Amino acid sequence: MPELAPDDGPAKRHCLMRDFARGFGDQALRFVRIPRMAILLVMLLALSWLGMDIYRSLVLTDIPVAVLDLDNSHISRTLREYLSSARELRVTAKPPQSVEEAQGMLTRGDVAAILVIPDDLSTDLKHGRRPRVLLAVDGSNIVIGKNVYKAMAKAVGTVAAGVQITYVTRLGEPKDLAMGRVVPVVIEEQFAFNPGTNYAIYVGAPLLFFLLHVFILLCTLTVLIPEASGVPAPPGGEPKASIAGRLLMIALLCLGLGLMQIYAYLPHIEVVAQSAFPLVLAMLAAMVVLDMLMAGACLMVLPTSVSSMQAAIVLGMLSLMFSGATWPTDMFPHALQTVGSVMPLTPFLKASQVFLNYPVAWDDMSGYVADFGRQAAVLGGVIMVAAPVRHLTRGLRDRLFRRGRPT
Amino acid sequence: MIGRPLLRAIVDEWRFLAGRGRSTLIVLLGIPFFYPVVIAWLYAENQPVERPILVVDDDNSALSRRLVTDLEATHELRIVGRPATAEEGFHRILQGDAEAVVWIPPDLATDVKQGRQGHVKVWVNAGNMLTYSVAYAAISNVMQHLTEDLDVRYFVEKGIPRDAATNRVMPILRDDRILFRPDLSYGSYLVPGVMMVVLQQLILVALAFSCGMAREFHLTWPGTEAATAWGKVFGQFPVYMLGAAFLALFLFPLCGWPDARPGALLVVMTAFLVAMVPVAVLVAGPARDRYYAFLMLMLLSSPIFMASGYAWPMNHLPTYIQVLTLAIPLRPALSAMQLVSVKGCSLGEVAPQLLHLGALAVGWTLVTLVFQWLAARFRGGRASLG
Repeated sequence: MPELAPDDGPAKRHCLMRDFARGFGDQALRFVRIPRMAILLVMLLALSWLGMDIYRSLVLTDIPVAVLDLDNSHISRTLREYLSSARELRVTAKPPQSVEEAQGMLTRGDVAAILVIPDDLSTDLKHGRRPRVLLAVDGSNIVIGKNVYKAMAKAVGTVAAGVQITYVTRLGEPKDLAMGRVVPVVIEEQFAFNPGTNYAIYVGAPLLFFLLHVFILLCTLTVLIPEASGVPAPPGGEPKASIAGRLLMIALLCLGLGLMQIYAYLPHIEVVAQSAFPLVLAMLAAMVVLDMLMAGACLMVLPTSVSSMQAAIVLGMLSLMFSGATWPTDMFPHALQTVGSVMPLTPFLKASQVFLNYPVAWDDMSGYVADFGRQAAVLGGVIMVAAPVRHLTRGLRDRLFRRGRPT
Repeated sequence: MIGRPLLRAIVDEWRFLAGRGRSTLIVLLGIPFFYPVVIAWLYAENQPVERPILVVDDDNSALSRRLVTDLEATHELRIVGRPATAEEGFHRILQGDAEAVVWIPPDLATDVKQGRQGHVKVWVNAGNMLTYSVAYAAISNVMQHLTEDLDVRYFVEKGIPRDAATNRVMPILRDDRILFRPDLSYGSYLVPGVMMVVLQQLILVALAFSCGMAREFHLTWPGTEAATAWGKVFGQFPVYMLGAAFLALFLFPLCGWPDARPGALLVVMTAFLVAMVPVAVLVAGPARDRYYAFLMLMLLSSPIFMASGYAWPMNHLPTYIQVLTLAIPLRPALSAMQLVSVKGCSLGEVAPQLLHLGALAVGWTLVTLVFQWLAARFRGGRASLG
């Protein structure tokens, strides 16, 4: 690039624009020409699809359970029917013949739960005694265990309520009032953001955005650390305008990929964005920019490019857990709550749960926008402070290194 | 024939780790020692409690006040506010300030007295299934207890003695036995599985990093990459084992994660690492620098874990994923880990999983050797053309 005089303004601007455009175009080509960049992009797309497909079934259904019915009365058969009609459960066709056999089925993992109905169930009920049924659940896998437990407890509770209604009507209560006497207070539940209580909504979207988040960090680092991209840096370093062009290219690409995840991938698991497009775009753009700032902050704080990448990746990989998607943030130790609050994925995942599943207005997002703002201030501040310090220490190191070298 | 070059490659790797490749040690020790400790610290509470909820009491009767007191007394719930309206409460759910709103309607006590059902409305954030399952279950339990007390009172009013009245309310009792994980705690369920993924990432990343570094600094030369990679992986193997021992014998018992048979768990982890050796050598093949390890391997861990059948039951996954994951050592390893550490099964009882891992070790070794032979031939062909 030719040297420019200080007053050569238009030519300088032209040069800057040319470098910027060159950086932008070259970065786009890298995702096609450089194998590792192409593989990275393909992996993001493929693994996002895989993530969606894993949770395509949305809810757990037909989990095998066994009933050992030692009573075989009208009421025990009703109980079995209620269990069979629950979508989560599938009562095994061949019931166990003894408690020992049932226990073996449970230990081997043939069934996820067993209900043992005692032989005096109906007699006890008739005599006004409270019979006990035994519910044994395999808790080794809590996703299965919790679902089975909930479904079986509900079935037993419903049958018990039915027995109570029969008794209340015998006491002379009219049938239309009997329900009010047995269940005087009921819950009318509204499952906000996930009406079907689907696991896909809980896990699917966070997994996708986590993959995008790691992708943004990695791509940004390949620009800020030229050797990481697998392409040697030009002698004398790359012009800043060119680097800016590359970063803009990555930001736009990631924005496009994020929109693709939201509008093409997530509908596959029946998650359709409920909020307006500009709001979704703004939230996504905030995460992209903040992730790029996070990568920059890691680079500025640590002494070598490899350690910067290591730190960014460690934080990036932990960010799904730090985000509160898998474990509520208020349960974290305080120090880790602070770390989690600086990670861009944290407010984005919380916000996405709302804007994807409920038609929100800008006002509703004010808390999350404030979180983004705080993060931008922290990460920007780190870069502003660390950049001159890094420049200074590098200069000092270079000078010391030169002094030590034979001339 | 093979033994001496391999031994030399192993010794070379130790020299490399002690000398120029010291930064590989950060990866080798950081992944199994730093990462698990942070995760263990994160999940130290094990079970989410005191979920923040809001209550709107428009009835303000003795019954509604009792309901609020009961909600407050529950370990799983914490009332964080009393908004004036349900709409305001829902807005605060949108803002993330609370996870549920309980609205008690103005005529609850009157309805109950007159034998009509009172309807309490609950809005729960079900977007997070973990917190939803805690908060909603706790609210349901409180309502259930309230209902049972009202039922007993009704029967007593009808002239039935209190003992008999109690027996008439929800007349079928349940004896619940939650086997293997009585508290159904989330932390002790998820984290041990993640630890196996940590071991997987340890061997994949550390080897790719080391191979990449050796090539970046021209510490290897064409024709010896294959032998170098095998030497490196066996040279690093004691550190992998150290990581596995740290997890199985120290961190699992320390954190109270299921560890019914620590020795058997270590054997399972060892078998898993052995099965991962050829996979790691294959993956490290194209590494040209240290950055390759991070760029190529970081996206993989979470989806593989999700597809392993640990987080979501295998029979609920699409068929092609069920078939593909048969080739991934993480699947049998996680299954075996569940059996030995949670159910207390012996090594004999997890023989199918161990055999699966053994078959994968042999299969992946053959694939890797064939791949390396083809790569060497391709390079040789290119050299002769050149």
